[in-house]
Amino acid sequence: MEGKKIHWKQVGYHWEMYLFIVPTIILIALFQYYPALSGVFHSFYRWNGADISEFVGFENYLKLLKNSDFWRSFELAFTLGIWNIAKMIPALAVAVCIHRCRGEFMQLTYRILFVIPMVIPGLIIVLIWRSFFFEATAGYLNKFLFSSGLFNVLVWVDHFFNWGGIFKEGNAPAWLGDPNLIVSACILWGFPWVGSFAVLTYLARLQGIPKDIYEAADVDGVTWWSKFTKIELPLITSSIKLLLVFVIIDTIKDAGMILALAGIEGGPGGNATVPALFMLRKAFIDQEMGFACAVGIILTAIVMSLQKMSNILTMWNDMREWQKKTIQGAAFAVSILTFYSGHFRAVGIALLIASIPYSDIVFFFRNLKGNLKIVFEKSEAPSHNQKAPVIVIRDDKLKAMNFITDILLRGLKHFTILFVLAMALMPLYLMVIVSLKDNRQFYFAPATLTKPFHWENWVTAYEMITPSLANSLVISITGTILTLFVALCAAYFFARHKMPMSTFLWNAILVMMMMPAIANLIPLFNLLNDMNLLNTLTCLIIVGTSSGQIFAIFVLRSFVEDIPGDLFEAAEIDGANHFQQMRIIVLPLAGPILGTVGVMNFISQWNDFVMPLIVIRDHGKLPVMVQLLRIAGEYIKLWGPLMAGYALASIPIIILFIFTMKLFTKGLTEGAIKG
Amino acid sequence: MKSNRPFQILIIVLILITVAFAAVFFLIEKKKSKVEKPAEVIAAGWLQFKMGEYKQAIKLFQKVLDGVPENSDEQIQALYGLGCTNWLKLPGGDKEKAAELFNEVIKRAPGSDYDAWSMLALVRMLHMVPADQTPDYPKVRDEYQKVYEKFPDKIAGHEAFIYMIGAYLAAFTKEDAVIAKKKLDEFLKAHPDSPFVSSAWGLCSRACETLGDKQGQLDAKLKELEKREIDPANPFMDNANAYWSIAVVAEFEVGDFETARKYYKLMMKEYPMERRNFGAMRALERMDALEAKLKAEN
Amino acid sequence: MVVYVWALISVALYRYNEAPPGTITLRISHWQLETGVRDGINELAKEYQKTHPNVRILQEAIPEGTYGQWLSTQIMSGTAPDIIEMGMIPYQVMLAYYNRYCFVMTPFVNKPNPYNKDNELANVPLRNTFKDGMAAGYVNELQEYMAIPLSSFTVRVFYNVDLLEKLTGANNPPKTYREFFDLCNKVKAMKDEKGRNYIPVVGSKYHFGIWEGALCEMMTYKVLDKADLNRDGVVGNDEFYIAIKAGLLNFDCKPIAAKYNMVREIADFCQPGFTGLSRDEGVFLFAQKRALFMTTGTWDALSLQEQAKGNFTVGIMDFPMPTKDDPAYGDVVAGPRYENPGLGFNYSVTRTSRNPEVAFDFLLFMASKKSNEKLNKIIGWIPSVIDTEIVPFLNDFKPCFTGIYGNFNVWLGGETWIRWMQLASLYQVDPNFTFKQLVEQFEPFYKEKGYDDFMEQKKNNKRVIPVNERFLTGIRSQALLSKNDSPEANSFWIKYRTQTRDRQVFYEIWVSTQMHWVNEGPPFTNEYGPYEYSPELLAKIKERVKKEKK
Repeated sequence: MEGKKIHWKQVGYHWEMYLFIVPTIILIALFQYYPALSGVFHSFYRWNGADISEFVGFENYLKLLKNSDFWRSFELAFTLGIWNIAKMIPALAVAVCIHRCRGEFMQLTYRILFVIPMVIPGLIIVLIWRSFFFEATAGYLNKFLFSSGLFNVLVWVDHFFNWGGIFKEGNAPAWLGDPNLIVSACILWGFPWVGSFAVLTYLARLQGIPKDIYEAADVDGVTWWSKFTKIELPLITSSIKLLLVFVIIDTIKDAGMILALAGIEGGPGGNATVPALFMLRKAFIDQEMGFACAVGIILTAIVMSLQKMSNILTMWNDMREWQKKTIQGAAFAVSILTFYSGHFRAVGIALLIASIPYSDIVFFFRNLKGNLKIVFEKSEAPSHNQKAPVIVIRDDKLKAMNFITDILLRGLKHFTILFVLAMALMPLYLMVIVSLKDNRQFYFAPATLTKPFHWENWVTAYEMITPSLANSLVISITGTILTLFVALCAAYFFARHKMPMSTFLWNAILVMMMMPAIANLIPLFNLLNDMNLLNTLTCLIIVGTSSGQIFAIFVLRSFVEDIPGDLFEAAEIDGANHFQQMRIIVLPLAGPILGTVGVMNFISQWNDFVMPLIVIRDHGKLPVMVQLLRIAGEYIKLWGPLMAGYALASIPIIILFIFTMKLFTKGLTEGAIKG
Repeated sequence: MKSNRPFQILIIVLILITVAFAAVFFLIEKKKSKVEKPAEVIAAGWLQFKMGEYKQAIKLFQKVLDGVPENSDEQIQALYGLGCTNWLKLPGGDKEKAAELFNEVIKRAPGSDYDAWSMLALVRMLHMVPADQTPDYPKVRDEYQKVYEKFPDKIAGHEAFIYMIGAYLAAFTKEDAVIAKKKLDEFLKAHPDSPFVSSAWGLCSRACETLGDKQGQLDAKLKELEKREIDPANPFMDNANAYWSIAVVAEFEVGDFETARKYYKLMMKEYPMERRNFGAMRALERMDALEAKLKAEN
Repeated sequence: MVVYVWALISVALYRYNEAPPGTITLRISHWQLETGVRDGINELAKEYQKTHPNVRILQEAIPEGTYGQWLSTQIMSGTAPDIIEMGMIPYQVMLAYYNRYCFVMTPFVNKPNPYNKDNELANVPLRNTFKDGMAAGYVNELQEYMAIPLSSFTVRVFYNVDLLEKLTGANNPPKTYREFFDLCNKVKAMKDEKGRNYIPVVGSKYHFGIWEGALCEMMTYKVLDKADLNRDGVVGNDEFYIAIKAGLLNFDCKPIAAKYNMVREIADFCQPGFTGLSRDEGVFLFAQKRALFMTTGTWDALSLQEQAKGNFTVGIMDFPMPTKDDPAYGDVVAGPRYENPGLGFNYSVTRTSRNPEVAFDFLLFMASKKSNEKLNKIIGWIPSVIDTEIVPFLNDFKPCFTGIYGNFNVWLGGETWIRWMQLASLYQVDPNFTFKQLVEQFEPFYKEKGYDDFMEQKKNNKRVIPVNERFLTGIRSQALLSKNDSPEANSFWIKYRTQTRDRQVFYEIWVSTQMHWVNEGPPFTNEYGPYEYSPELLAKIKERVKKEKK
């Protein structure tokens, strides 16, 4: 449905449309734009967040440009971003393997099993990795390295590349204590990296491929690898390209997981300080709020530049050759100039990577491969008038080989899925196993079931986290309901008609998508303080609703646009006003998409802990993630109740997702992954 | 033709409202400019100074300066406060402005305490040079001397004297130590009850040390202890340092073991948690051992 | 829907349980999650509430990893608790917080604590009721008392009694360093049921730091005899450099060599790779009964016992010092270890408190003899108030006030410090890197490059003079504004004069003395050091003794 353009003179007939957008405007203006502008304002001040406020002009920015810690944090963010890209491979591989499963029952079973690692809150995974995998003396990672012999390989590699003894014979690597290893820990945590919705997203895309194409490929004897590279990969490539940029942007914006893993100091020597963590530290430890606001502004500028780059990437194929070469050349020149500057090296590396002419290189190697190709095909003698066609003749031996290969590949496919699943379910396994132990049993047999079972740990855990569980439920459910309601109204406003000012408002919302939320954290905190909302659940609900608007409106607008316009016209003819059209037409059809968006929003609010960590003071008002973080900081850890607590905090999400998975997947296919 | 009367009335009302607002605003500003409690504002200004908020401090002192009668005590205090803040503010002080303000105080309140403090501040500015430079000690000493001569009975004058002696002894030459010692003797004779008398004796001890007068060094230290002021609200202000210092000078410079023992024991008795008590024990053993050895040899 | 309704009811009930109107609610925050701390404070709160029924005391225990950020947030939002334990933030920020957001306690410290009226401390000024004269609560930069310390801390060695008995047949811990050394060597060679070597000493960055500071450092006491150039009883880093440069002291002198020999010995007893481990990881090993000895402080005593409960018995012993007849260290060890009272667990009252008088009253209550004793008995710590009893378990923690301390002070900042840290770290982890090599690689560099760093340090010392001037101007202003001849004015003037003398006059003389010594040489020779008698003095004493004998 293409929304009808409404002119100013016609506004009188459609004035109630503006009522749909009012709540969104209020929320976004107050809780997104105001903090952003306040951040810009305060970035020119020496401001301690309380009583010191002194105008210093550009001093904060100049100080920031000279601050080597800040630029080092960007280098780290790029490093982590590049690794995060590589970490997409397991999810992609698993999605392809599940998609290739012939039986629908197997597909469904695998899909359900993969729900669990996807929905366990990231914070819990981090805490488990911190306590169990990375622990130097008895951690599972070191045990695995020693028992598999991989550690000796690492020692040899260390020696060969002269790493300076990071891996040394007899020395258990201290993943979180060694400044040389903390970054590796930040990369490794969460293996096999099938969290978030990557698997489901890829699966949803892959399911859009008609079965006929696969049948035709089978007839043509296309190999499994060719099927992937020629059929599947091109169809999901567009989203991969976008994901690449979003992954780097997320790494720059994210502070939560590093905060949980390495602490606000950024680990030993501050080596795991990412830009957002640098900002948090400046604000809340060094009390340099004005400086932190300047950091936020620079972060925003960099993220927006990267967004722009991503737009260029999406339009790349439509550009002329000279435009492409110009951009690549300019990027290369700038990267050389900045590379040796010291402070801007991270940017230099990024530009260098971006300026490499990949397509030319690929083209070169493809031709090379073609010349060296061993031809199994037998060709007929060419006729005089045409080029000889390549005719595939199936050899019997080849047929047999193909059959064996097929069996092996199927076995490999299931093995891959099961291996990744086993690794992904390891945290859950540990949670359950350890939750039944007391400390003594834990110290002596941390990974195997031991008797007697201490079921009372679950009771202790329940008592420990119930209040915070209730808080999280109230925040997430109320926030989600409000988000969906307000966002759907706003989506209707944008999609139904092109009202005056709607383009302006839409762009205003899009701009918000590009702003890293963490950059506005400090002014937002100040605003909430002025509104007396600190230390209330209301504040978390309202802020959650406001930040959830952006993505929800984006998705729901596409959905409303897809509703046939005839339905609305028919309703108008029958005298229905916009509210009635919304109720009669939009709401009934919006079930799946609301389910998808609602689930994603719920999980996002459930998992959020950076904001509550800062605004909630009272113990009784903490949401569950912050409560778990506090419990994990206890000096004497009662491992059994702690793990039971982690499990209890994950259960609501798992239950929610299992019941809404069908709806969620349907919604994903229909609308959420468009564009 | 429609009547314009309502419009005209509206214009007149608007003008009247504007005038009323302007008048009220003017009265408020006038009222604000008269400082009701200058003493409180000055205290607030010093508080901002102590907290490192120099701009705020300057604002408050300036407010008092502008809002109190000319040459009143409060104005002099405000001028002095402005002078100190301009001199010592961060990131960089404005010494010229500060000197101007201090000179203004000297001009407006001659003979007052603030006159003395301002004069002392001017010399301190001269004395405190950047870290990679050495002060012009002869000039600095002369200026301190002037302050002392002008205010021989004020605390600021005595403080100037102490700084002057410090400037002599910091040069680390015997000639300067001789001059310092002479001046100190005169000062102690003229001002036996000066609040800085203990500091004077301490400097005397230092001068004797440079001159190699060990007995003089010890005697001055004893006097320093006798005249010492103790801040009852400072846990680190105790006599442990003084006792130890006297004891070691007595033991290793003068050879007066009796005095040394007395003060080692006093320290151990009055300060049982003092970490040098072990050293004091060693000292007592050492002295006993030496005397025993020498007696045996004799 | 059901779940949502349940959640709403839970949240509503929490609101309902908030304090009724008219109640004074005091909030107290800290990061001490050790066993017993929360219980101890709750117990005192209950006691206090018996006599103050309209006062409700709420405790907020925040993990130390997030305490700094949490505290900053609360202070910024003006919602800081009434009583806070100040810490877990950079020192400069802490000073700023004290200056801006906390009440000064100086006016009260010379008055008796009203909650001591029933005991022998009834007329004793508050500050004198503390073991260190309340020095732990005094902020030197502000020259004010800003906090009240509630506990005393020292460090000791903990050991697994059962494991000791299993490995040696006896459960008597070693009393001397030699016994300790021999025992550790024996244990190092033994293996457990899984074939893994036992670890004699738990190592981690945190734990080894304590071993080095509390034991090995003691070997350097006698550096004092050569390097305490101003004879103040302590060797500063400037004196240390001057002594090395002038040849009065060498890095391979007996005391320093002894320290690093001991560092090597103890490092060899720790598990490989210990320098990269965190404190928790070290404690884990001890809890798993793989390690015999571990060091930590009183703050961990009860927590360790709790962790080991039902598993093994935890014993405590003092650091095993070498005896005077020790073959390796007898020469350098002059006496037992000195420990200062080490008060901490400091609490301040914030200016954002709505009831600062009540907050301060509660603090005084906690600092009274009876309450302080009770609090620390529950926590298993040592009280900060004098004449209090401690739990028998902690008798071994009573500090020793007459003993030796370390005098190795190589810090000059700059490149010498970087080089030292690299070499010292290497020495800790690489058994093939000898002390001789350490000295050979460092001493010439220290002597030569150290001069630049020393001069830079003197410049930094001079840069402190304007800082002191600012500080003194502040005190002077308080003195000038105080009423003439009032006790307050008197106190300010005394403070002003003594600080002027110490921080400006004598400070400048000391800096210039050091400059003189480093360029011209100190007033001692290799023949006689600061604590030795010069030939002239000996002659004089001899004469006196002769006369006395006559």
